[in-house]
Amino acid sequence: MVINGISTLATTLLAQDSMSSTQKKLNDAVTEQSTLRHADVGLTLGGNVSRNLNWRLTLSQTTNFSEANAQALARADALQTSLDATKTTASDFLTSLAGARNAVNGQALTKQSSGLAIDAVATSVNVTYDGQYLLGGQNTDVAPLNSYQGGTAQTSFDTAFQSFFGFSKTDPAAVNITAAQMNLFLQGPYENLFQSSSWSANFSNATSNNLQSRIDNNQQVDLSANANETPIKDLMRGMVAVQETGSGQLNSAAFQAVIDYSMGKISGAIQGLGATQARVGEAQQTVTQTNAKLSSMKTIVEDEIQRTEGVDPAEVATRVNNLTSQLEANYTVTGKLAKLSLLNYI
Amino acid sequence: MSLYGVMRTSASGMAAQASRISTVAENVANSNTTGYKSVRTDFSSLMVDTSSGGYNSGSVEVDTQRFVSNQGTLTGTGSDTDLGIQGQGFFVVQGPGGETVMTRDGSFAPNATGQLVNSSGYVLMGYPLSSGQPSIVVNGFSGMTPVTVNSSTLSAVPSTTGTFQTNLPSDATAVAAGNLPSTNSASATYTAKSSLVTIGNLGQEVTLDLYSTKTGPNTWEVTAYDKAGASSTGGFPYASGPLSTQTLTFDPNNGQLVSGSTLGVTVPGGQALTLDLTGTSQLATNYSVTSGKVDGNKASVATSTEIDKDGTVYASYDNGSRQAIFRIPLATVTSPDHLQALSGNVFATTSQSGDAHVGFPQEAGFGSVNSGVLEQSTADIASEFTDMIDAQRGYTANSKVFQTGADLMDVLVNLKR
Amino acid sequence: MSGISLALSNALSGLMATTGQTVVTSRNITRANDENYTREISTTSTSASGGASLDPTQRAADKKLLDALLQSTSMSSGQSTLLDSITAISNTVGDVQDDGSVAWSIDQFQQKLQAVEADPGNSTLASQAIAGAKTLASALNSASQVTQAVRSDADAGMAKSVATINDLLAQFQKLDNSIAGNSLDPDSRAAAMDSRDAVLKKLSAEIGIQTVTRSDNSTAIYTDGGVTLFDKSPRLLTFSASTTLTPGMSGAPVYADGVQITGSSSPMPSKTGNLVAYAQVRDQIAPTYQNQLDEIARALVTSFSEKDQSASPSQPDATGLFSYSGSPAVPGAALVPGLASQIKVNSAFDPASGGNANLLRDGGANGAAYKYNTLNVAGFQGRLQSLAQAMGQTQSFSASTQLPASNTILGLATASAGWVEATRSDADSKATNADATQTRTKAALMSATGVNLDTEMATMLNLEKSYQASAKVLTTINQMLGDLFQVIR
Repeated sequence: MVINGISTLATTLLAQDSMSSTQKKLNDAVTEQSTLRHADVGLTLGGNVSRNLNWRLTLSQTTNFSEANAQALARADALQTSLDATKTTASDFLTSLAGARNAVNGQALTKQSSGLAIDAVATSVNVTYDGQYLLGGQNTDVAPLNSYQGGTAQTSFDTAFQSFFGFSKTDPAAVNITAAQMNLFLQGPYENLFQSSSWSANFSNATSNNLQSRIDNNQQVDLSANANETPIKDLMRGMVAVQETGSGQLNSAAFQAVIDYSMGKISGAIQGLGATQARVGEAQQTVTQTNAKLSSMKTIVEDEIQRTEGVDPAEVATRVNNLTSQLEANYTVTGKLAKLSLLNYI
Repeated sequence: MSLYGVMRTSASGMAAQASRISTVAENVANSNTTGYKSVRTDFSSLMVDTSSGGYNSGSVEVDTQRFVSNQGTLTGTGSDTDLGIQGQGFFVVQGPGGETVMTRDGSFAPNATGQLVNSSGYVLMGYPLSSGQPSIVVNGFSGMTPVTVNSSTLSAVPSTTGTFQTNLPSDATAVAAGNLPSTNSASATYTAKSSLVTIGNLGQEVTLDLYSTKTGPNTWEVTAYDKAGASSTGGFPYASGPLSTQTLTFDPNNGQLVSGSTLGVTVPGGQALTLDLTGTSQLATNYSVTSGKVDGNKASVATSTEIDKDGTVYASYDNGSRQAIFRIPLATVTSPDHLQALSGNVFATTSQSGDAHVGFPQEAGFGSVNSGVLEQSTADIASEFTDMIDAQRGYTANSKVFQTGADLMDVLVNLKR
Repeated sequence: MSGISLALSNALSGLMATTGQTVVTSRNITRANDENYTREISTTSTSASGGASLDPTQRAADKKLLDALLQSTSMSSGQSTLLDSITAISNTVGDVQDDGSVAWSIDQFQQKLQAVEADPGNSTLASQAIAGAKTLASALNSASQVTQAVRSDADAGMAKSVATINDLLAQFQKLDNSIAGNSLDPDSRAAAMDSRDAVLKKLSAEIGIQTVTRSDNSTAIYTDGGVTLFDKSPRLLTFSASTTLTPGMSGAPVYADGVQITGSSSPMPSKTGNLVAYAQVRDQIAPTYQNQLDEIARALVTSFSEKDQSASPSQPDATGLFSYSGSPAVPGAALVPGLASQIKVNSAFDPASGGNANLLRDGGANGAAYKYNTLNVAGFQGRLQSLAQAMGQTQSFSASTQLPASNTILGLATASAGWVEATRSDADSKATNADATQTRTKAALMSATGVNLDTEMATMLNLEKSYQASAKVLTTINQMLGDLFQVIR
């Protein structure tokens, strides 16, 4: 029989050890109760930290994209408004052209209305959002359309007119221009004024490539339009033709040829603007869908993070209770053990 | 005539009782003397011729006997050099005059020169072990010298034997022949290395590096180098080649050593050392040294003395080693009770006791030597006192008889007025 | 011999034996709270004359349990040292929700870069992106600094551990020699054996050991790799501490008895203990993490480098937003040790140092040839798009990172954080287990060799009774002799 049971010191050390480990567990449990996350998330997750870190970073990116996308949508809305305004100007002008075609003072009317329309289009195209020109392509800090009146665009028209007809646009000899001659001018030298190099030199400061918007990590959409697009060019073609040739000297056949040409271009431009709006609208739709996708992903990821990093409040509350009672029992037992000595009985 | 006889007889009785009191007195006086053997007075009757019609009283004759062969109680003292003999035998001691006598008094303590001297001033004799086991002269004390445990002497013993027992990991990869430690090349590799401290002739420490290297399936090579010749990084190449190389082969069935059970190394500056490799195994576990031990003692000072039951005196050195320096013999005689007791608790042989013969403790006919105990006196106060009372009564009785004889003599003398 | 003298002598021997046992019991009680004390057992036996004689005091030593304790102590202290060092490294990762880590910095920087991409003309956003880049660079710098500090501490820890081991071995030599030499009285000998066990316990915390005890009670010590540490005389460890440890520079190994015992090229490596844990941190864990950081930094420097944009490129690639000590040369495909500690934001980009944040959009930090925005438009997206693409692209990383070779920069950063936490989690559970084992073994050893006060008190009572009984016998004998003297008068 082994009489020497357990060493007295070992009893004390074991009790101390057990108490300190219970205290540490209790400490952790109390922390978990207040934060509702594991006391040391890194330790609990171990190698899964990289997965959770990825989730958290995704969450942060998703939030960031959602905000950026809201911003981009607002910008696209501003663009749509501007395009709407341009389109309205164009259709109003088209109506006025149709009315002026056979009117007695048609030339005077169109001269005036085309002047107003050019200004209106310039205003709506040169719209800014948050300090940036929406239709400037990537050249966002310069107004896309130059002012026509008195600008190099007007001078270039004057030069083209002079060289084709041999006299200036205000010359009385213009009355002799036939409809065929006028058509020849409009489809020849006049058209060339709006070709890309001349257009960029005289009319527009915009670049032809649009700002791309990144709407999530892998997707970029084009939510912009620029002043170099055909509808804007056509609109200017229609308006400038009426403006510059409507000095009042043209015979009615030539005038009607101008009006017909202009109406053709403007109605094409209206269609074109509609198409641009539809394209931007489609892109907006994509952004909205992506946002919905991001938001549902965010919910899933948040759930996963909660599942892996969080603790069950009911479970942790029970654990705190259990550990507290265990610690109390430890104290009681230690106290009793300390009193339990033969010394007290001899 | 018979009245005189009565007075003479009672006088002899009184003298005998007086002699008995004397032995009691000696016994009581020596009741605390270490190794004292009590003495006893015996009486025998002495008869005279008697004529018819009258009885001539005889007298009593006194004979004292010392019970030398009685064993005294051994009582612990705590001193290592206090010795007690349990069983037969006597220590051989030398008196101040050079006479060699025997004693049971083991209360030895080293004197200034390291000799063990007992309380009576006798020096313990023994055989020195400096040149191996002594050859003893059975019937004489020759060859004995005083046992000296002088702690100031330095001693060094070069290593000659040792054991080196390891487990070599069977799953180790074999080393190519060109890279074995025995080649002493800079690129040498090994499986495991240990080092052993050996002692050179002058007591200097010489460390041997022992490389165990697997050379092939179930074959190993153990190579010994002098550590002093190691390169600056502590390894190969050594200044000189290997001291010794041994090939070991193992039984593939149980991993036990088949051949190569010793490694002979000549320790640089020392003796030829035989390392016993028996017990070395080759099993699939880590390299481990199960036993590594080499004899020999560094030059060092003896710090304590230890005496074994067989009489061997060991000196312990401050480097942890232990060396047998003396062997204490015991002497005995055929009839110990007839030894002549001399002053100082010593005994001398007499013609009756027979000659002394010498042997070692724990041999047949000899007892064992116990360290840290002393043999108490065999005198027992109580029995001495009862003897004394008895003697007193006897003396009184004799004196009464004498007085009666004297009174009768008075009556006779007064008959004639 | 018989009679009253024998009775007297036997009663006396009883008293002496009881006194001797009481001394042992009182020593047991006195040192009951010394965890290195081994309980002593004192027994008596009958002497030839029938009295009681005290046997040599026995120590209740248990070599097997002591060996188990030494082993578990090495394991436990090594693991806890390892855990401390890894915890220091893991502080650079922090909680997954704290944005101070390298991964979060990369993410934040990437988001800022995307904001600039969405609105290239906005120089405020560009400045913010540069600030993000600076945060990222400093996160890498400080993580690298912490890692190197951990390495230097580990190197210093090795030096301290080696010094402690050598010191303990010297102490051990004195104790072992005195025990084997029999030069001590039994009491001091037992105390010396306790001290020797205590030295072994301390030694085992530093390095894993196994011991062999010989017949003369002398002990030889070997490392758990089998290298001789002590056999009659100590084989002192040698180690030259590094004054500075830069990334990519390896520290010196530890030698014992001429054998390298730490590091991968050791023929007989030690396996447990503080020393080994420090060496593991210094030579494996910290360098691997440093490699990961260096590879993240290298990928950043490379991804943001600029190419010659002329029609016929003639200039070599040059570093852009992120520069390092080798700028403007772009690092190759191989690991550049210490890049993470050198990476910084090129001052040409930094508005705070008089730079131009718009270089991020335009390029050209290394001269006109490298300019991407040749049209000089404010909304230029080409460069920003390719940078964003480079950030999201998978790249090849060195195998020395111990992470998947092909990953994005952010992927590498999160994988690195996961690696650190996995290492810590592993070390923590091992440390907890080793600690529990050590506590259990210690309790077992103490139960076997320690003192139970109750048992000792009970023994004390027993001894008291037998002392009383022997004393009673003496009194009786005294009475008897008195009676005898009465008779004589």
